[in-house]
Amino acid sequence: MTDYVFYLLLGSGAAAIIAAFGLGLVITYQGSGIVNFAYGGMAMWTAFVYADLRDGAYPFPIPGLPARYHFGSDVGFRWAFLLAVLTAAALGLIVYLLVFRPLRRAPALARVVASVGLVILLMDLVRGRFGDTTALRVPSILPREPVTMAEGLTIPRDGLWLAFIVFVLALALWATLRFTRVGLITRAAAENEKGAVLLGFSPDLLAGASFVIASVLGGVVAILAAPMIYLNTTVLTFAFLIPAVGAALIGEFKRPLPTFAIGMAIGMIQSVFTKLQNDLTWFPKYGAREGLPFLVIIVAMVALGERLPDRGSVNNWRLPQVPPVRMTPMTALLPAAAAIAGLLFLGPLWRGAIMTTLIAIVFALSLVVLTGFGGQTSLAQMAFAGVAGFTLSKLAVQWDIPFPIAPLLAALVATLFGLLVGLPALRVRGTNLAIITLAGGVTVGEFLFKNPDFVGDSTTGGAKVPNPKVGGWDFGLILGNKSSRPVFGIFLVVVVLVLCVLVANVRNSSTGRRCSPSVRTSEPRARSASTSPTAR
Amino acid sequence: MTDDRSRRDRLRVSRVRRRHLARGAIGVAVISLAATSLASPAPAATKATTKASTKLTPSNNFPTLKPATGKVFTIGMTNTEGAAGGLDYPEIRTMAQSAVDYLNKRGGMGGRKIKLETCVVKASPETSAQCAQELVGKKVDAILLGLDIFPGYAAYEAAGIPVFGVLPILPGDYTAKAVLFGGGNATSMAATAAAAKLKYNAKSVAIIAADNPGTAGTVASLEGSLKKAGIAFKTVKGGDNETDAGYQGLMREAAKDNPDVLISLYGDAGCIGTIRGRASLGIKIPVLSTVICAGADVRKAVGDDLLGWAFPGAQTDTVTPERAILQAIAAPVRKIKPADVDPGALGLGALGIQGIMTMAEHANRLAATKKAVTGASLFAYFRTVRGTKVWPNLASLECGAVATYPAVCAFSFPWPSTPRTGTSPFPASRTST
Repeated sequence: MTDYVFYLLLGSGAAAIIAAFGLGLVITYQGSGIVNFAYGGMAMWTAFVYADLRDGAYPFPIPGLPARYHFGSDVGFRWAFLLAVLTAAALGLIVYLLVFRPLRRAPALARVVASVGLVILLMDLVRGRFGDTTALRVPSILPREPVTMAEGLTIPRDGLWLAFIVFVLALALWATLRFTRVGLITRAAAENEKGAVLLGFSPDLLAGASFVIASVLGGVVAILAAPMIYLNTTVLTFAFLIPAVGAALIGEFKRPLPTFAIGMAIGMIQSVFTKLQNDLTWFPKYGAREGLPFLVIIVAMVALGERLPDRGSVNNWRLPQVPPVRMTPMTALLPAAAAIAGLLFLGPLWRGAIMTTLIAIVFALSLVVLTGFGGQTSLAQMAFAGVAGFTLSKLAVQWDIPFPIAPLLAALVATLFGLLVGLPALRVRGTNLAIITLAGGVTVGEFLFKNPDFVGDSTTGGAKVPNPKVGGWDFGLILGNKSSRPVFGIFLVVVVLVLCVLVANVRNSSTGRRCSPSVRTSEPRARSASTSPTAR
Repeated sequence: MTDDRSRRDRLRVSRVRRRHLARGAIGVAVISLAATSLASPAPAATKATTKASTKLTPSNNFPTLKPATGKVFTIGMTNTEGAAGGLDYPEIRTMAQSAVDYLNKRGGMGGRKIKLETCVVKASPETSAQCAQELVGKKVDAILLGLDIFPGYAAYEAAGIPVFGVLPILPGDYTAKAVLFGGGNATSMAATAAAAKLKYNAKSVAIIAADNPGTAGTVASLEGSLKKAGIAFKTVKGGDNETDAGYQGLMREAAKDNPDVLISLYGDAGCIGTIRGRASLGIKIPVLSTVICAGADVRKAVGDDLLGWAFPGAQTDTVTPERAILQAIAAPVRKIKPADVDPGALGLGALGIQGIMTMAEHANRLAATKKAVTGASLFAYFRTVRGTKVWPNLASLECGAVATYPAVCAFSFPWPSTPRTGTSPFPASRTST
């Protein structure tokens, strides 16, 4: 038992970072209605700024400007902290004004995508200014000496200090939201933005302030945590942010204390996995540690239903009209003929480009059905494709199942995964669903794509897939001394045509005809039109 | 528009995952880079003191050769540069070009002048396939893979162009029709298991590794090797990014049952964390680790906490004619004098030099047998020759010696280690075996 307590307490530092990021996400959402997936990246930049200041320089994030201003020596903790926190505040404001404010009326998915783009920008910014930062350390801030709490329970105290500081911040946030006028206005706007506008409160001002405050909170915790971790582009950006999303979800993106508690629990339990993996014979060999937060997200969303209630925003964006599909020989066969002509008469580079485009069309068709017809969001499509690909390899190579049965079975397996991940769609929508599907996709990646038994290893040469063959006809891309064979591309054209006809038939069916924009955005209307939202 | 952007971002997310896997694999695969390069564990400020024989051999006689005048031998080189996820290794290409420039004044490729046709890939199958098509279209004599995560083996094989490379990265590389001068994770893990058995007489070990796709394959290789060596093992997995406390926890759990040896597969930031974690817990069990953890940055950060750690594959810095050649090749790229080049600080650039020079040395050997030097004859020569080494006199070349890994040509690793006790992690008098 002492061992388990040891590992729980050992994880307090990491848990505090998760909890703090969860609080930051709550603040941002309460003030603006936005789930900011770039939150970790913004904290990362602040931590790097602090680290650079302790090295005697301030990095400029704008291309074209000098990389940094040199002070000549370590500016000391106080100045470094102050400048880094001011940078965090400025970053929060700039991100809101330039990225999210213009997207206030855009659909939730657009804001999710924008925040993902911001993450990539911030990571490249760090790489550009700091190069290969695999072992960037900063001097200690919080006391680090070990503390002995009982026999066998000696742990570094900096993690405990950080957890205490974050707990105080959580209490402060709770008290502000509960007892102050600003908190009341924020909660009111979060529940009914239109009402807040009518009462004369500016949602823009609230949103901007929430971004600034959240960025400062994340920056402060990132600075305090920096000596405990090894700063790189991913540790704050993903490793701590994703569990924080889970914590904020369970806190309904509005309750600071449950968010803090769940964030701490996730981090501490991840620490205990270090011991559990060898104590329990059934413990998953791969992906358990990183997959846990996503399982938490999925289970919480399914069990607890809607976590992000609608804010009643002003001028909500409406889905566009879905026109009926009219497939004629011209619209279907002309592009196919052009593709085949390109495959037969153009060089290998162009052939490769046509084949890649054809494969991408299949992905696009999946989104047409899901998002275009059904009004649903999914960030797990590529995970399903991966499941199908690796399953195909297993079926075709290990079990000798021939074409076309093997790919059809592989697609069926991927469909089952899609059903599993799509189950939460029965109860959640919009950003909630985007989060669940993101979690589902990553969980699949953690538990399956890390497992060499599923994806192959060096002894198997990875996961191989044999050429598609029917009778004596080999449709493979490479055969003998011929590579980039046009016949493979023609095979792809036929598959794409068949799928296009199927999708068109879905749209033109009685269910598809009921997919008007108002029905897609409103389930009561869908029910009154005798269309089951779940069937979509 | 939203769907296009969201699809692009989803594709980007999946590519991020692929790059994450590749980045993890590359990070640990640098073990074999060090095993076949001059990556030295000695501090950069320490001058090499050990001297080796100066007898002229095909690996060091380049300065005596006349400029190449024969028909051009075109090498197509693919290399990952400017890809997202930090996968950017231009130094491999620039050092390879510098080696080509050096050789063209000194014998070329078996007397043939060398032309390097480079194609940059972006860590994606599409760009690798494009480069493969492009180089096939240019009818190059041979392919040299820099760090290309998704080489177009099928295209090269279909065109009859032989493939050479510096090290295997992903599982498909081990079984490809290629000649790879480095051993990769799988073979270095076999060496680690052998070191545990031969150097420490280990009956049980504990493995500490990050739970990510790149390391998962490495762990599987190590576990397989330990099983063959008859060594019991336990694996303790941690996150990609742990706090200091987290690394302590990993070390504590690993050492709990008092194994004979600990094996740490953490690289990069994990090196400092695991080294400090072991020291802070007072663990005395010796540790085998990746050569990345013997780097100058790590040594500077941890000091004497490194005592008791061993790095299968790390080289000692030795004064040799090959070393001088390496310095002469690297100097123009670094824009410094050859004598100021630190061979241990070339990083991945050493891979580019190693690939070109190994090919050139063996082309010269082949030419000495009066056989025509072509891509095919050079490939066949590599597959059959024995008694030669990866340039500059590193691992012995034994292409195809292991049936499971037909592409791999290097299976031997040097063995330096730190003393169990003492004040200096790297005394100058140590020798490698």
